[in-house]
Amino acid sequence: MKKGISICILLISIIFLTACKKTDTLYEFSFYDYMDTYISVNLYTDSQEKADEHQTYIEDVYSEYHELSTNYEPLKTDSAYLENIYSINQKNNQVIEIDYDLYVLIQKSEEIKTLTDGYFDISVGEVVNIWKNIILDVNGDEENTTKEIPETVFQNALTQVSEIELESNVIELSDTDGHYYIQVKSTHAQLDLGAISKGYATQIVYEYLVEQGVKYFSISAGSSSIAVGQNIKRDGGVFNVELDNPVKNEIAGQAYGMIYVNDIGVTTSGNYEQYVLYQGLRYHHIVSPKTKLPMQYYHTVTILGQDLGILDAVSTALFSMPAQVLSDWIALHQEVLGIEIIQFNYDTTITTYLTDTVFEEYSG
Amino acid sequence: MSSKMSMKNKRDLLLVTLLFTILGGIFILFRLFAFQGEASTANIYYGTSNNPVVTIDFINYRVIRNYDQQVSNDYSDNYPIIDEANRTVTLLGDYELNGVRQIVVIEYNFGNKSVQIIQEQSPNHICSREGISTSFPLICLPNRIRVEFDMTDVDFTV
Repeated sequence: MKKGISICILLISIIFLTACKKTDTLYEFSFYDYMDTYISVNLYTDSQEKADEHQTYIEDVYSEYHELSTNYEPLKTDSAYLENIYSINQKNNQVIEIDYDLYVLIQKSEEIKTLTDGYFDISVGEVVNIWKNIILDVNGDEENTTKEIPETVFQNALTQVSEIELESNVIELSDTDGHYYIQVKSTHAQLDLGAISKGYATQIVYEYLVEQGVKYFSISAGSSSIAVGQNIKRDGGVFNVELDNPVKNEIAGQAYGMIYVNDIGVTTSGNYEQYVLYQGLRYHHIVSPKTKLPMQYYHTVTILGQDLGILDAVSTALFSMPAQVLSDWIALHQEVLGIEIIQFNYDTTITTYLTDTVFEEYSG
Repeated sequence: MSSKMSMKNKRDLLLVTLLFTILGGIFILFRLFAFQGEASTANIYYGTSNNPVVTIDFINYRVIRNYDQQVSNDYSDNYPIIDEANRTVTLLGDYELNGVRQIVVIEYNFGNKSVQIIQEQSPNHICSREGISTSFPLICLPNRIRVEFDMTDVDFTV
């Protein structure tokens, strides 16, 4: 009888102790106000206080980089910062003192410009704005269901961009005695950090979480960019990430494949969320600094890597590279940068440059 | 004899208690861990149709209006009403007060992939009392509106 009781107690203990294995609990929070997107963070930690601390830090990071990098509105009068991109864009040719954090971000942008042979360039905001405005007009027009733009609009855009002279190396950064300065040496160039600031901020958040010992987490920064630690719910800590099909139709379904990832960032640059059509081709918001036009080499370029600070910017650059240029570029830089690429080409074929990540393409 | 009997009774009691404890434990575990999967979408249906009027896409953070509710001209609004600022979806239910069909307001949350009925008229308010759901269906009767979840293996889409 005693033996029976012991066995029962043992059984109960096993059941309950198994349940107690997970001491960390899930905390979820999200932000709607930064980087023009919806940012959602899930993380596991052991107390509400820690979760609150993490939330405050993360919100501060996104809030700071949103304020510094927006080109839509000036800094608030009580802002803690000296200048933002909006105000810098009003003061071309002047030497302006800026905050260290913005200085480093712009410096990083310039490094990526060199790295990508000029295919990523934050100083082409003027050209980007022309295409963005056309896309906004058409997508805001409920009567235009085909997204097709008339020839006059297209020709007008071509005329406008051809009149813009893009100068090389317009950004000059300098520092003296702990003060940091920028000079945009052009009468008209406009800066646009839209393709780098979100990823850059996410990298800071990512490094913070790792440093804080948070192992299980995921950050979803907008619909096309994630940064993940380990997945507590799955063996091996893996997250299943589907790749959105940019030419969705009934037969092809919503996604074209799946990747299995952890401790990594994944971001997709694509032409499918906001675009207009002209003669059947998609004109989108990623504008080539080389041609001043949105290019049609790919529908999406997905990039995976450890340094989220460069992922968004590099995928933007790759999107404007012809296939051969991209392929040569990858051969040169893939190993050093530790990145992997999945291209959904304009002809709907798929090209991959993978090293470790498992990618399953859906059939059909 | 009597002592043997009481011994046996004690054992029975112990056995029954243990059995209940184990079953209780299993029940609690099931409640805690059975629904650990996450929803990819929540579909809102009206009437007997199996085509959702609205799909809430928790993976791509969007709310999709699949078609308009067929409503007589007595009602000025076009249903469903999708309010992205307040993150609500409003449908017209079948329950009538003074001959007027009443609205059902569904609040969604992309963060924890959940849905809650926050406003409805009905005799017992059963569906608004269900609270927040991340997996179990919310059924509003006699409004004939229901919310059902699609569970998935996919964590994100990029």
